[in-house]
Amino acid sequence: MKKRVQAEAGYAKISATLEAPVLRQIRERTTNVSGFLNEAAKRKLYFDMLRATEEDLRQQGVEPDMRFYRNLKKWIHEVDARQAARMRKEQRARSG
Amino acid sequence: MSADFVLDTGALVALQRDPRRFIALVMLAREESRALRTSAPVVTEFLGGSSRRLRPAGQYVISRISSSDVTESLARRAAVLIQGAVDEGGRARPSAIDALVAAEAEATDAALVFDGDAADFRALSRASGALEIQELRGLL
Repeated sequence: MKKRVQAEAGYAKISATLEAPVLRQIRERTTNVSGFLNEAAKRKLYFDMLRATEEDLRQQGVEPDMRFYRNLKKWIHEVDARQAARMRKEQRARSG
Repeated sequence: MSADFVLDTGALVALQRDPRRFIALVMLAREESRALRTSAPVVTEFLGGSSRRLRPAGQYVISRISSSDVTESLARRAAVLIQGAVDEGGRARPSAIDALVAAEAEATDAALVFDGDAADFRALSRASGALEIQELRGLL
């Protein structure tokens, strides 16, 4: 079952349709849902600002250093994989 | 899970000087919803150390970076990381600001991009045991 949640933070409005188990998990992991949604709204505003920054720089004729981009992307994906493996190991250790 | 990027003062200086790298970082952060973050004392060091000519670029860069306040527990953790780095007995002598930015990255499972004394950051990473670090020049 899907539930619709909506929140306002400042000028930003966000809404999302979430599967019930996901919503339950979010509720369990946050002290209150409105706090979580305010955080999510702030994050959305932040990434909107990054998008505007990218457009602004491109309009100024700045092109991305693609070698740096590719190397950074490769490294951060390796970090994600290591952190996920560490979390799985910790979970296994906790469960027995 | 996807780690955010945490930047030290040296990395911010390098990005301030090269808009092509800055836009590449912004592009990746936006595409993969990874915030660009730092610790509040880095803001002081970065802006305070900017030459008059580079100040506008510095303001532009720092206004795109989310900065976190230093709590007492984070300050204490940073102190432990310095002690661990120094107690190794090598030449590492991380500054308080280096340690605070490392503690910030560690506390939030973020990945630290630095451009400074590699020995200091490697020692902080070993003291942490879980801190992911990368020297910016190693990505060029």
